[in-house]
Amino acid sequence: MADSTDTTTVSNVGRIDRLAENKYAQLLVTAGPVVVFEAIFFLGALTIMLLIATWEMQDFTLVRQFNINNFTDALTKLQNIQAFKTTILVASLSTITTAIFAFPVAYYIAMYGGEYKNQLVALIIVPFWTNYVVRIFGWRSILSTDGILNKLLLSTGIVDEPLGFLLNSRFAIYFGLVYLWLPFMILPLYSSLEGIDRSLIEAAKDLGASKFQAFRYVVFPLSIPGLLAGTIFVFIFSMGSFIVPSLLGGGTPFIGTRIEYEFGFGADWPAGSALGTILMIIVLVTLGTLIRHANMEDIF
Amino acid sequence: MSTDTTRGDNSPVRSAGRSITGLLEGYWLKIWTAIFIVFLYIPIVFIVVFSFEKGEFSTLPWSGFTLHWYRVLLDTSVAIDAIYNSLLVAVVVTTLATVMGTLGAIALVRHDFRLKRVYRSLVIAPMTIPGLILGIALLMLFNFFSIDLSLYTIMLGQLVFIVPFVLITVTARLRGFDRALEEAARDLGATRWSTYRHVTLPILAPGIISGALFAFTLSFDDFLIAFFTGGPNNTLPVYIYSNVIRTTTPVVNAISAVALFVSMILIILSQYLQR
Repeated sequence: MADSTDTTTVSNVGRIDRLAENKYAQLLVTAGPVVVFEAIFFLGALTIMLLIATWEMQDFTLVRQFNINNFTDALTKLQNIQAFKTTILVASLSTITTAIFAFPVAYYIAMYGGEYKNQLVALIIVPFWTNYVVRIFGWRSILSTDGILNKLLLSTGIVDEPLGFLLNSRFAIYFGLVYLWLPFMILPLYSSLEGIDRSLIEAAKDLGASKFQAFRYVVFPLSIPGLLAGTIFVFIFSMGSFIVPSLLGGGTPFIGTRIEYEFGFGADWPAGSALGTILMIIVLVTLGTLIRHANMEDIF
Repeated sequence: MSTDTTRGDNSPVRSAGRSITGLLEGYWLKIWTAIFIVFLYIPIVFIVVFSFEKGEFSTLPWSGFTLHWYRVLLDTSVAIDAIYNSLLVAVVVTTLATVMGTLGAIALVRHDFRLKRVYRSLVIAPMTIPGLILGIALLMLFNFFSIDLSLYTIMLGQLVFIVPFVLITVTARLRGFDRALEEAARDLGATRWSTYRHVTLPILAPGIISGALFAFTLSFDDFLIAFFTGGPNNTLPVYIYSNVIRTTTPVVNAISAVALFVSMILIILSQYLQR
């Protein structure tokens, strides 16, 4: 009795084992679910967005009539041109600023962090993955005309009247984006700097390079993969940001809020899809030009 | 020989000079780093502190400590529903993303196949696309196939970018995996399944758990996908956003502090496990 059950289990296990040795069966089970899922809900969704961008909206219903008016509108309408200009300007400035601010931080942790390296990195990671809607809402309260920052500036006599440009302005969007994406620049930079072989720096100095020269010709070139990875992420996510312009921008024309408007009050989905498609193209071009030299995987 | 002597002559001066500039450099860099780390925490501390303030407006002067706003929060059923929705979505998404992501990571590390580069790009792409684009594209997809927006569509949408995050996290763990351990188990007569069960899984477990915690945080904090594909259903970040743009009552501070608390606990746990 006991023997027969034993043999059946063994032969079942044997069959499963044999199937498990098959390479294609393995691939089907491991990669299969992800590929099917992303094909439908990622590639499929983007394709349908592109398709709907070529339709039009009549009396609040979608009409399947092929045309490219939405794309020409997206690039010629005054509010869209303004939005693209502001978005590209602010996203570029934020990217440059985060790079400048982040570099010394990453450099310090990588070179001087010593035994506290991991703790310092964790201190940067924790706020980064903490709810960003809430963090931007926090800045909205802090920066408003009767917020804590203006109260402090007034009471210390640094300013005579509240600073209005701190909120609901292009500056506020810029500030918010720099705040939000700073860790996205620090982390890949850190991982590149951390990987530099110290003996290279020593060798440069032994060969007579000054501290600055060693930095300029050894450390900096080796940090470029991290710098590029950070640049890609900060620029792409600044271009596509919605929460920051919506909560801090106060009506400043921005692509993210324009797109949301077309899907919300504007009720013009094809127009919104066309804007989304153009944004998507900008993202792809950025990725295409920079990704080859960037170190993308170490970030997560 | 002559180079040696010049070096010998210079080295005390040079190394003293070096260590002073080195110290100064380290000193300024330290202050700079400290400033930016504090900067990252400013809004977090602000929200938590002012969720306990008596006044209606979150600003100075401080008008006293209260738990009133948390009591109001407990009585606001819409807010409690939003928290419940967020937790429900996060649990389902985490479970599915962990299974799919772990399997997908095995394919990426353990197998060589044609189209592997395509597979890799397909896996990384959803993480590099801004959530805004993904959100509207998914909204169009669901509309195209006449699927009603619900918590389920939020779950499907979040999986698109969360599965890749889990996959990459587990991949990192798999890369450091010594395959000789599995071979040893097989040589000692273990079946493939029991090798998996008793060798592979226990070693991968911390990586998988940290990936799962990461998935939970991403889902719990996601705004854009839930905003566009949730229809009338609020998750916590959507509820907070829609309250913030209309009014500012300190109850929003209280519910925001709850959201901060949940996501910080999870991310700290996940960081701890990754070590």
